Amino acid sequence: MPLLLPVLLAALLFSIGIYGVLARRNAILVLMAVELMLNAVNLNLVAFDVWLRDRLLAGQVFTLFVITIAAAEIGLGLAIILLVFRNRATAALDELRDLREQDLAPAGRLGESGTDGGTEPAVTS
Amino acid sequence: MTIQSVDYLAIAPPLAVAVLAILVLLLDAFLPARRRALVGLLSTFGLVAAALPLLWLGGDHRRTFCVPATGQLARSCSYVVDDFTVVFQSVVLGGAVVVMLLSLDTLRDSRLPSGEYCFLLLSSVAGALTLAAGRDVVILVVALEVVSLPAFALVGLRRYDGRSSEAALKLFLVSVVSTAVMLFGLSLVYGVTGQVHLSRIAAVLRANPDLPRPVLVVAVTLAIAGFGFKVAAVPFHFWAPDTYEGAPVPVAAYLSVVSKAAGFAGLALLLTRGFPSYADVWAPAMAVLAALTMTLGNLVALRQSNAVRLLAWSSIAQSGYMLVPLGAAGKGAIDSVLPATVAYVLAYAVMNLGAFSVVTLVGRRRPDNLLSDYAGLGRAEPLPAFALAFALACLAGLPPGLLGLFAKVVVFQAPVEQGTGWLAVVMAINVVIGLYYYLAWAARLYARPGSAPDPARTYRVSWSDGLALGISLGAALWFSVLPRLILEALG
Amino acid sequence: MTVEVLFGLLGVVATGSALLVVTTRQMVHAALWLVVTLGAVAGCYLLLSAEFVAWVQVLIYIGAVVVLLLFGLMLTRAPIGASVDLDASMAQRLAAAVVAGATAGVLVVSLVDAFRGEHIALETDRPRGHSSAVGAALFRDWVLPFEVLSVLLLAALVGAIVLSRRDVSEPAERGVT
Repeated sequence: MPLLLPVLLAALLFSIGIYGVLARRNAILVLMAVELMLNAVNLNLVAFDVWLRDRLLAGQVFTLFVITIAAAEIGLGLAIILLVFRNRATAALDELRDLREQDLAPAGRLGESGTDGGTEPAVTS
Repeated sequence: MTIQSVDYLAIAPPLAVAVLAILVLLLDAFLPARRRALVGLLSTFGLVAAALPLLWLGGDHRRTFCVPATGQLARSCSYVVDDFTVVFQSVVLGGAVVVMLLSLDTLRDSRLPSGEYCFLLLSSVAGALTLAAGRDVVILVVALEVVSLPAFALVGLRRYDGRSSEAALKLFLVSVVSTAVMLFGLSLVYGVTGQVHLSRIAAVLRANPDLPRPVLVVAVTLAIAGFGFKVAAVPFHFWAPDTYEGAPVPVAAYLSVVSKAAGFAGLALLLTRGFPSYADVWAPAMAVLAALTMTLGNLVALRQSNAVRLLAWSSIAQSGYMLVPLGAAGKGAIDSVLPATVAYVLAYAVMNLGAFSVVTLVGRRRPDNLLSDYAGLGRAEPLPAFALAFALACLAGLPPGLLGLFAKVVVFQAPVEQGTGWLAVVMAINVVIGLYYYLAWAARLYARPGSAPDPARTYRVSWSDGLALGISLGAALWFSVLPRLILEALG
Repeated sequence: MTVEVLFGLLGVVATGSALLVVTTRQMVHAALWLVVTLGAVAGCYLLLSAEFVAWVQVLIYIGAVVVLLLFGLMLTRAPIGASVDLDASMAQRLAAAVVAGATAGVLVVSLVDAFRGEHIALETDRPRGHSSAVGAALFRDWVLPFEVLSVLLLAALVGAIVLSRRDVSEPAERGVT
């Protein structure tokens, strides 16, 4: 079998996964796309391992480790997604906006720091 | 068929921490609720004890978990203890002790589940310790996951707080995507070289200059992108400020010091031990990353009003400085630039922990942790204010913060000596920008407060916070007086 | 020859269903298309003589991961039927498609350049991915990552449990760090 066959399939799966990660806005769908990327990695590793006739079987063993890592990630990741869902009632990523760069009120501005600290509301309150 | 022999002294630090983690978890289950504080204490002292083997390991060279030589390939080992390992393990353990001390009061006040908190923190530390000693791609990836995965849970541990879970989700998604990207790059490296041990990858690349170059360039780029996320280098930095702000402050300190040090250890190992003959490919990429990272980090830090977010952007900028030596690594100069990065990571850990200790302390009374909360701290609490001012001077690289100045000079030398002058210029400009916001913050500490002293502004520093503060301030002062120690530690 | 044809067919199935995973408008369908992709990849492993990995893929990926994902969909009350708000805006989707297309282009060109004309010689009498061979390699040469992974799994377990427990309420003094 030509080595290119599995390796190109892996490249396609990886690219599709990248599209999914960037284009989806639901956290669980993003996770599915990540799984596609990890499968591409595994396919690469197995194909190279068989092609190289690696004495250490590094490729196949690494694949098993990647599968384990993926399972652990999914388990913890879903717990986090459910936690967000409980707190926010959404799994949509672009609705998570509590933490972000904010346009600052002048009072908190660093540039006006130093000697005039006493006039700031946070100090006198 | 031989079974690998195990050198238990070499793996003692991560092994001890992993065992400690399980002990803590079990102990927590059987202790009555009012004795839960013991769990945190045990973790702290256990971490100190886990650092003891490093005294024997210093200056030693030990290798374990080896595969035998085959053909032209020498015997290679997955776990190696050398100067690099010992320095990084010391940084990780020292940082973890300070973070654990800072966590003791946090655990009590915010009713986080202390057994699970300590277990997750210790697991992550065990991963970071393994990462510093790992010398094959498999163990690097696995250890990096062990560092990251418990950290997601730690960030989200304030379960009632939507901001905390939002921070955890952002960190989680960024991290799994970056892991997948990095793994794809590493799978291509395996395909081209047929090896996973860093020394063997380097040997194969050196022996076969006619290996297909484009695919290796792609592979190295993908691997760098993966680690770029972990060390929060621009353009992979955007998770850091949100995550630091949403996490409990000691966890933010952990992410910015221990987890970042682990990321740098992995990146430096992969590039300098695995691809030394491809330095002409990755060094320019690292130089561009370094310039972007420090510039954006500093510019955005200028307009922050929240102390934790400011430290997050400042730590992004500091990542940029740490990348500078790698960016200056031309062919053959790798051995001379690596110590500079390691020295900066060490210095950064000390000074950033100093800043985070005081920010944690202030955050206990002032949960919003705005910069305006720091006005007049110099009167209310002279010692913490001095510690913060000193840490900020170090981060800015201004006397009396000689530690930071020295680290910056060491890093600065690399591009000057290796002829990447533009990087040196960018760094110099950035250090000047950094001066502004660090000094503006330090000046606030000694500003005259407008009103009468606010009783809520005295902080009644507890012994654990005081100890954490003392350790980081002491280390910063010690290294400022004797900066040579940092370079001597690297041999 | 038949191996190549079979592999090609599985590849088409995997690629097609992967495309559906990232484009379908129905969340539950995405999970089911993922099963098809993962199954096809497992078939690829079998053709590549990686038996053990193939069955682990079926057991863990299809058996555990997809079931977990379905639970996740159920617990976040994913809508049954088509929904319009699963994807980002048109502009972002276009940007994503450009990035993905560029990635695919770079990868394909560089991979063809590197591995053109290379052939995998499959040993048919004794597959190298037999469970005994993998097991021996795992415990002879890869003990360290195996042991470190045990820490990872325990940490993931404890982390998931502690995040899912609901018995911890907000402390009286709000926002204490």
